[in-house]
Amino acid sequence: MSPVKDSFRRPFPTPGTVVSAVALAWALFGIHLFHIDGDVGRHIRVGRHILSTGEIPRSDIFSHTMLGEPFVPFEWLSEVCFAAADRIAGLTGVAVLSALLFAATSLVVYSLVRRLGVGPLLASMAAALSMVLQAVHLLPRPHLFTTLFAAVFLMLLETYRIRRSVVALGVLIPIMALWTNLHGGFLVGFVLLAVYSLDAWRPGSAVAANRIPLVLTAAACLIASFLNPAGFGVWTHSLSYFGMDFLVDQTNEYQSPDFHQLHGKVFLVSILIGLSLLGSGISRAGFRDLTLFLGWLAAGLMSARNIPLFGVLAVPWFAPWVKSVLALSRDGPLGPAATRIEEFDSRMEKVEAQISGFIPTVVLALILIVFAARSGGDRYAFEPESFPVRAVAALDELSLSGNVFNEMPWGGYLLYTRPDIPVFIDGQTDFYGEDLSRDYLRIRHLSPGGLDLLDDYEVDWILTPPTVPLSQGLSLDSRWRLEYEDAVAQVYARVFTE
Amino acid sequence: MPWRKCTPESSPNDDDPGLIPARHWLPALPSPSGFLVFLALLVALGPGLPRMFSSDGDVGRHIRVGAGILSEREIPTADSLSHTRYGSQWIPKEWLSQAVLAESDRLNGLSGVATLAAFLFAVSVLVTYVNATLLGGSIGVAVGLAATSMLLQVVHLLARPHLVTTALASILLLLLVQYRRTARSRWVLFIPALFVVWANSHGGFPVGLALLTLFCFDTWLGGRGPDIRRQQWTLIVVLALAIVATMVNPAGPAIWSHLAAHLGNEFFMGVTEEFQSPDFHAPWGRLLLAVILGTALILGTSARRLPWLGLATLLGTLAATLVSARHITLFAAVGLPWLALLGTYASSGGTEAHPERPDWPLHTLAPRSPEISSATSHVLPLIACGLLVLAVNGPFATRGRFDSATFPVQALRELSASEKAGAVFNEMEWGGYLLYAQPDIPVFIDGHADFFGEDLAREYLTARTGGSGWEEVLDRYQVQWTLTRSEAPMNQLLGLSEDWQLVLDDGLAAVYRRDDGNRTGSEGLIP
Repeated sequence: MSPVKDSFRRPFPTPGTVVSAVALAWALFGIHLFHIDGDVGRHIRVGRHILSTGEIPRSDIFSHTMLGEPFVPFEWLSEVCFAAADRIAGLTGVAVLSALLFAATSLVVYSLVRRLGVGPLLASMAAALSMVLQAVHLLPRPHLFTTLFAAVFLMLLETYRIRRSVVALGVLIPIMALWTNLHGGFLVGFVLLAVYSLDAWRPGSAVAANRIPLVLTAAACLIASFLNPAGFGVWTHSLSYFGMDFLVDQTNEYQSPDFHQLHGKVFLVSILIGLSLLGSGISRAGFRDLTLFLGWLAAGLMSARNIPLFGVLAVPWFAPWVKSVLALSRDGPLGPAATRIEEFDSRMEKVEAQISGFIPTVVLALILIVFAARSGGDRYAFEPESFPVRAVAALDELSLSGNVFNEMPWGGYLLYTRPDIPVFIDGQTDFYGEDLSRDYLRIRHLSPGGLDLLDDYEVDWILTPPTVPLSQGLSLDSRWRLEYEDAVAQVYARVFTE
Repeated sequence: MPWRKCTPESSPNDDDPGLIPARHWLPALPSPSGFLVFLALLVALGPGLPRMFSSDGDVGRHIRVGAGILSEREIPTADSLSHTRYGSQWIPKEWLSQAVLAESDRLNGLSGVATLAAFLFAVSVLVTYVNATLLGGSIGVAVGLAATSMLLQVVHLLARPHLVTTALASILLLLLVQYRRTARSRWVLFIPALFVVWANSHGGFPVGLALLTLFCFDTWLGGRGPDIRRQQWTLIVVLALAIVATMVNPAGPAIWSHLAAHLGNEFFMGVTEEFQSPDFHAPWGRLLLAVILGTALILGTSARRLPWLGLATLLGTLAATLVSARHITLFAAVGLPWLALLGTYASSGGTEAHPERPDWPLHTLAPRSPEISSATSHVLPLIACGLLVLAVNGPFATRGRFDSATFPVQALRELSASEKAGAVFNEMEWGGYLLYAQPDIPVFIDGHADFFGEDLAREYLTARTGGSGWEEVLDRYQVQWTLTRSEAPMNQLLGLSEDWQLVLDDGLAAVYRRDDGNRTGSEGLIP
């Protein structure tokens, strides 16, 4: 009997598909995807341009400060995906695409943990923790592709390690070609290849036979990574992030996690769980699990945006480590509980084999998506409490013209809603560079000479929150006149004198 | 054999729990502990000394309060140092350390204060080393851990009362470890007295109670038998006495509610730099990251497991550090020594062929000497330490002073008496310096954020950052002149305002004074 027919006959979803359905529902109904981040607006705008012209832009056409400057289109394919989703169903479509990527990642993590020889209960728990960590940076942006592909890469590498499946290795190559066009995080794939190669090349390694295939695959992936509009340029562009100290320090998501915040507390708990398991397991950690844990722990501590990758690449190993601790506890006071967990997990394993149907999960997912599309409304829209929705709507009545100075997080929103207005800056800081970013901050924070920079950039009108120092400075400066004001945004226009 | 190698097979009940006499071969060599003390003093009084007075002005406030206590022979319970909270009640939770800091300042100015801070720092490093040896580390491992601990403690090496907490926490760990290893009551006899000193010196004493509680749990989980039962009840009695001891202070039990209110205030935790999470992009953050990764590596690859008590202490202090960077000293002094239990054996046993790794209960540790020691091995370090202290405190030494690159030393010198008249709005980080350098000027605010409260702190931030309503704040407190960093957004607004005039701007500090010729108040300024 074919697997599809088999699936129809088994009407119950597996624990893994339940995990992914929960992830889908959570992303669609539990998290406001358009709450704080306007960058998705820029991505959709770039994607729209590609879809309408059939050309991938190689220089800037979206700002007045960097007009005509060359840029590397390292995310063009995901931008097309987001723009297509937006064309089909507006921001609801974008939300559905993001939620599907999130759910798919959770499903892959579950499958990966099961592949590590852990039962459904512990696998579900690890996948749930991973899901919570991924949600820390759940924004409708291209990095979601990296999170998914990182999980897929790890699962395929582990599949090869366990089953010596050459197909699993071969699949990595087209995935890498795709990944390079979707997001600059494709470097993660090479990190994983390096870890598994090093594991094979270690003296006395049990998987020494994997050495040559892994190295050949890495070489093929390297060639595949050049299959993009910028060729080798995508490598230099992605690696250049590591030298942008100023921009990294100024960008919220690149900063170290704040453990006072909820997302930081979740990460802290995960770190403590991981370290506790490392310190109390019956056996020592292996090379690849320890390396991946340490590496992504470091990455997560350096930049909060890497926490989802910690969730995907380090947390799965917690499940086998828990098994190790349970094995130790068998003879101790927690022995009965440990035995019960193990027995429950082995029963679950048998049940899972009996009910493994995916059709019900697909149906459930479709129901969730349709429900989201029908009930979405304001949920899938830029939040008026965070973005200058009312101010932008009033722009036509103000009949402003010329160059704008805008709040950086609002740049993407402006590009999305008013494609006719070239922005001063938006969230693509790696493109705008350090000099312009410094000038932007000097103006916004009213540093000495900041107001004069508005003349240098020939700014004619300003869209700013009322709470920032710039707003107070403009209100005292006779060269500027307040044209519009609400609780979120103010619009100032330059006063021209004879 | 100069010292005995500690092995799991060693007898747990050897006679002397403390020091085993070592054969004094190469007696002229400096002892490791003496070397570490010298190194700690060298770091604190060398590169550490200017740092103590370049990044933090709070020491100025502590000295000022302490000077008041010494001169008035009274512990103040109401504010007399600010014009914003003048007369408001406050909890003197650090009065003892403030008095000692002021006495050091009286004896030899800021050099004396730095020497006191360096001494406390050296005590923490030394006790960390001793703890590492008591927890089974070889001399190499113990020195390595103490040196790592020292590097981490340097991150928060400021001449402030928190140094007492670090030193006392490490001493408490020493006493408790010794008690668990030897079951001799003399090790815990003075713990309540230690808490009396602690509760009057710094608000960090709950850390000690947490540590004591963990050790209590450990005895209760440690099995049965008359010996362990005696330990259980002894530690419970000590814990109860310690809790009572914390209330022996001028504020009594109110100190607890004060601490709870401050630590539970999310606003302060969010805006106070040292309470924020570590920045792993900074050089010290990278050092901490390396230590965290090293800790994880040792935990994962050691041939033995860490007992739960060690794991709880290590991870508890690490969690505290990740939440608030200022706790890095506790992680260094109380958490790290536990790795000595594993570090010595990290490279042996537990191979893939024999993966099982046993636990290492504390009471099974064999006694060992902290070091190769002899009377002569301490001579050289003692002489070196003495010379170092003399170099900093001698008649020609002038190193202890607030750094004019970070504090408004020049600006205050240039201002005339009339320009400094009236209520001031000052940079928060400069408040302590202002109290120290100009005792006649009541400040707007200083680093004592828990006293000034959330409302005033928010008003300060509104005005300083040029937020909406900045000028109303200056009017409300009838501020006549401002002393803030030149780049503060407020200065740009003052420059645009007709009611304020620039008095001076030396690139570090800008001083604006209300123009008496114009109206005060906000009306008419913003159309």
